[in-house]
Amino acid sequence: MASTKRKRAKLEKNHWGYIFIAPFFLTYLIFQVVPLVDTFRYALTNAKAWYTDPSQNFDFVGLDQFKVILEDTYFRDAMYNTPVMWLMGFIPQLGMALLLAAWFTNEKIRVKGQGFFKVVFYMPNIMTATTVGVLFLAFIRPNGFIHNFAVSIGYLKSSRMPFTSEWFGRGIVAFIQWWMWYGQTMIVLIAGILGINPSFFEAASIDGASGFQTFRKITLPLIKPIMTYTLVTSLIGGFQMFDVPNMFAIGNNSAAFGPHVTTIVIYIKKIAYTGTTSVGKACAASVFLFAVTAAIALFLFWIMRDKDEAKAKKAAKKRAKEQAALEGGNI
Amino acid sequence: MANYSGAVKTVKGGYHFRITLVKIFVYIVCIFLTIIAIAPFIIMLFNASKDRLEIQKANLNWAPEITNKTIASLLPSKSFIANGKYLLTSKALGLPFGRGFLNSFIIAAGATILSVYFSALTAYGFTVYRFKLNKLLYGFIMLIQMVPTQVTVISFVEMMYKWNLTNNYIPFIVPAIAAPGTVFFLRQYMASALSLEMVEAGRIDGSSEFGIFNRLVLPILKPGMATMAIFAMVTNWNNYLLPSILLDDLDMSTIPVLVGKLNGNKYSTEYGAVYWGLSLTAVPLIVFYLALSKYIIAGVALGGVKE
Repeated sequence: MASTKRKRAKLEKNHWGYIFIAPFFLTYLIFQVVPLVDTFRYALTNAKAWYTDPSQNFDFVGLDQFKVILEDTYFRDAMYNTPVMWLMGFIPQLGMALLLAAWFTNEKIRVKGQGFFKVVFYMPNIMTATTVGVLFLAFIRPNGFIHNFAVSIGYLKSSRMPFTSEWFGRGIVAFIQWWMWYGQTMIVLIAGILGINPSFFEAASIDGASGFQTFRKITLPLIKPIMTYTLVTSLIGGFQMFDVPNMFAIGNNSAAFGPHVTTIVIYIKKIAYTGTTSVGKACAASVFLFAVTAAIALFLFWIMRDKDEAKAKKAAKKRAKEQAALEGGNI
Repeated sequence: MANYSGAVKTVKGGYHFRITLVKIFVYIVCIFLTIIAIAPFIIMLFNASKDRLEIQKANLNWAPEITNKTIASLLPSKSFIANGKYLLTSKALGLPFGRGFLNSFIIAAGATILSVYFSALTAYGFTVYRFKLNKLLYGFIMLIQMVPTQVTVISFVEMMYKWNLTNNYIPFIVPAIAAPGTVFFLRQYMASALSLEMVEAGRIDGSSEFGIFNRLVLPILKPGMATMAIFAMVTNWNNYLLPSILLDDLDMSTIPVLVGKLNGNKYSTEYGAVYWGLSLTAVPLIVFYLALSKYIIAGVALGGVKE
């Protein structure tokens, strides 16, 4: 095909690939891989925060830190609150997004002003999570409008008494998560539905399928990969929930919710940088977070996989390979 | 809508009537959601202009009958400037928001420029060159997108303490060079936007490999890079966990860290000032969002169809 000389030139040029990708991998190594290894290393020691113990005289303690955190009721609270608050927000988030996506893509309903609704529903997602957290905290504090409403309907006895119910605390965090994310999920699902080959819908319409039947039998199965993707990314994000619940877990104004809205990351930060500043314990909790997230994500991928999709993927891979071979020939 | 009620008798009319009912229901839900999305911001802005007593008194106006007082308590009042002065300049409550905007801007802009440029560079390396580890390393980038970033936070902070990089911009800007999600997006974008013949033509013209990338390829990638830049800007601007640990000097703090402080005890009765601070941080983002909403919504839609 090509002369030896040209082949060699090609080879030399291809070495440039390593130079182009080097900054990424060097940065990733220093700022992500090294800390990840450190996390596993610290988890096996009784290390304290560097600013309380600059000499870093710590001992190897094996798996003791894992035992300690698993017996810590505060950590157990966090392990319970985090998935519960995530689910309380995620189920209505996916439900609302699916409903809106079905309506917005329905030819018969033809919702006007979709562009406007998309912009409005997505808006909370762009806001600083701390701003949103402090704002809703101001609403539920005595003299905030939600608090006042609860007093006026008799849910709270006094205008000076704060909300104390643990489920109200988890509920408001879940509500904020829902409020910030259903618009994003809706836009993603609409894009997925619009990407479906229209001939499927035509065929269904000719066969006399109702709107609901079409949605259940055609739309839902075909957007399953996108829903899996949404589910897994939301789960990974949900287990790392910090900014919003943190506003309801710290500070005297909201101490009523403290342990009831504490998430794993709140626990990690608190254990590492307050009190005895136990970095060892915090890293053990981080390893735990890593393992739990990975296990659940893999499990979700596994139950949501289907055979057709696996086959399609194989075919796509083959196609990509062919294309790569083609491109390789061009250069 | 009333004309439809007469048409119920015929089969076709019944169908139209049903569609109309569904339509009405859809619009009611959408308008309700619009109110839920916007109302918190409106209340925030209006409360920023009220003094402590006015906010406290709004308390009593949830009575079932709507009076003039109820309406007055909902509308903006006249303490907007006083609240602002209080929050920005008072000795007891003042927070350096001006400096905070500058810090946030330096961090967000720095991180955005680095992440977009180096992600394009990385994606280009994977797209154009056929080296041995290409597939393997790209697979690695796909995989690390899934690693929960908060897992390494504590060790990262410890490393920064050791390197004496607290109250410094570096820990927030330099690591942005490695942004796996952006690399993934730009690789996809290049697959459709970049022709390899052009790279070849650049080589024949005698350009260096970096010259080809900087002068020929970057201009073509501009739309894709702009989309990623918007999202990088917002993500870095809103980042809270790491800055809240590493920036303990108020004059180095970013906006989310300063807003987080409004949660503290000394603001527990300064309602107006708190709402004022929240508005100050929310309004620029809302303006930014509305100005770029077309690109942002399109970007969200693109990001989802990753499979």
